[in-house]
Amino acid sequence: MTEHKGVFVFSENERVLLELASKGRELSDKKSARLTCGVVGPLTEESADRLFETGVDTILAPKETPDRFDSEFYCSFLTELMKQNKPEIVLIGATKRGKEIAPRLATRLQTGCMADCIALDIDAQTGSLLGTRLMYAGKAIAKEICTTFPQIATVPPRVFERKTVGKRKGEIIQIAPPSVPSKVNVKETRKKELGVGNIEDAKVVVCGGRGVRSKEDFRLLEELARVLNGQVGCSRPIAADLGWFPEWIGLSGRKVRPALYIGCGVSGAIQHLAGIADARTIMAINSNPDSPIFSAADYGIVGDLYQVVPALIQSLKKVR
Amino acid sequence: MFISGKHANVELMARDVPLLLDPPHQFSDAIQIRFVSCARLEVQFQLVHGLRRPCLAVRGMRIILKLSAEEDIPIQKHMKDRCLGASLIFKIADAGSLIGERTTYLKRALETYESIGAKIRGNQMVRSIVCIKYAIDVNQLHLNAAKSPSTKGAMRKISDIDKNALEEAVRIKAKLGGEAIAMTVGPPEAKEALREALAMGMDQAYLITDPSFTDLDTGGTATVMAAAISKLGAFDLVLTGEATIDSFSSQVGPRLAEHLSVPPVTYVRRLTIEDGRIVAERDLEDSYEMVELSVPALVTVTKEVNTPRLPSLMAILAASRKEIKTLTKADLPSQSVALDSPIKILEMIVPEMKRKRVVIRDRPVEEMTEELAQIILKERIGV
Repeated sequence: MTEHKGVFVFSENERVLLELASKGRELSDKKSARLTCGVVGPLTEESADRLFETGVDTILAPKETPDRFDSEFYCSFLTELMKQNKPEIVLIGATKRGKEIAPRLATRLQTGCMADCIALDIDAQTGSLLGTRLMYAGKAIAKEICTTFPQIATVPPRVFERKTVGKRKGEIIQIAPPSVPSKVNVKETRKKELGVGNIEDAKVVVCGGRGVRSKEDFRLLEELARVLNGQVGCSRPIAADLGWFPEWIGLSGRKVRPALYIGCGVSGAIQHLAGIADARTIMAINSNPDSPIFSAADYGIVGDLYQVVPALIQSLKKVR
Repeated sequence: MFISGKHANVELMARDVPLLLDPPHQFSDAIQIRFVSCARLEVQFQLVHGLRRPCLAVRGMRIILKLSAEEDIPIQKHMKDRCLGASLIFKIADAGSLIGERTTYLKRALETYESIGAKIRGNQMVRSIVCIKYAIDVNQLHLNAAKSPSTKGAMRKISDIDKNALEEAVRIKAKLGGEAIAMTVGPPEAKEALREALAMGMDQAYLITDPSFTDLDTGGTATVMAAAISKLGAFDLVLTGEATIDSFSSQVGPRLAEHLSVPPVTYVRRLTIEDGRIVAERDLEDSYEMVELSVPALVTVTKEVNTPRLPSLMAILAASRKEIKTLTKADLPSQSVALDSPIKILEMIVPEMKRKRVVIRDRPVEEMTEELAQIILKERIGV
């Protein structure tokens, strides 16, 4: 048996933190344990209320925080909290910042970390945290456990839904901040142009790939999306190489689960396919019949998207 | 004798010339000098095998050394390839007269290089260590859905994004001089990956392998890697990919940084180094973050940071003659590899791919789109 007790959740992103808190509540109920969360300060009354209404018992907040997000600071802050509180289970939001902090924390605490869990449960027999994660770019799904404490897992945004448990109050404990000089000097933060929004919730996703020749040409895809009440997304090269979009769909980006996905000029790299695997129906438009996307799609048209997409828009308007 | 280079211009007297030569018929060995880091210059001697001409390679500088002024042996292409990135090349024209006691020459060589070192201190050279994974090639992977899947015999290769890390190290070295070392923790077959890393221009390659390392999780891998890095002396930069193609957990980089007590900078899409300062642009979800820090540090790169080179045939041939050094558990400090791997995989399932794979083609566009529109309507999706 372990002296570690309770569930602890942390994310620098409040929305993700609330999602984790919902899951954390469920896990702590199964273990009849308390749910504690760590926040990036300064904590407002509204955020505290939202957390309590999501089932958090205790909020641990640093009394002072650095002006900019500093992972060095939060690594030390969390390590200190873990040593004092000794939670059994720790959930951290798998944002890019969280994915840096979680393994660092795990290293400091000499424990394991299950990355990017898409499901979490408590093993009925052992009481151990069970993490489910994709392996081999989605070709396999692994169930893992962590045999040391705390059992740390990271969870990508929007894997769990926020559920409120009704009006309630909990305690807020202000913690003296650690004093760690950061070795990393943030010179500038440049916001990316308009985000892709909540593309995970879109019922229809029209996705552009390298076959789309210019940023302006995405208007064509937007029109198709409009006809279908959908949202436009893109594959990694469009966002990360060309910068036409801030984020991309795929294993390293956002994972979508629409009723209909239409890939236009998307070749279908395996990492992209892992990001659309949960789509109910996958359609593909690509001029290259050998594109891997055709073997991962339900329906495909081999053809030039610049001809096919306008024609499809007309056909859809006709059948509607 | 003269030395010229990007960051140093040093002249040596002929009498200072260090030599490490066996009798003429055994002219296969040479000295290598490694610049350990921007801050520190360390001289190490190491025998390089298989050269036709005796040649000394010192990273980051070019030295043409003629012992006999009359004769100048043209540098052979393969020698240049061998010394990729090592731009200090000693050529010995008349070695026959230079036979002597090896230790004496070693001593003299050391003194000489220390004096070179003193003159080029404050240089910009960067010593990087690139950690790569000999990962399962997920594109080639076919898992049997019926049984619990096995990855035995699966094709493996350098994890794609680790290749970007290798490329970045080679580019940094080309620009600033220094040394680039590739390292992997893996089975003996992972030598294939290191061979490729050498062909890309890495100077040295280390395979960390042990039967007890087969089931390491990310924590275990990072612990072993850090222990191996601690054996290599000071470094400026540890580079790795943002994630590996097969497990994609992005843990080894940040964990390694903790073990090495250096700051990690993750998801770097642009990287420059100047005067021991790293300037990096990170690709976060909704923003780009520009950070600055001094070496030493650990950087994980994204695949947008560069386009990895395809090594030339010559480079591949040259790499095949380079030595891949192997370290086993016994070679590593024991207390540092005591940590067990706490993550255990209980089961693995293969999700069924049940896509219809209907491909419409070779018909008038309108006809094809009409059919697709009908399908969309029939399945009542979105419209």
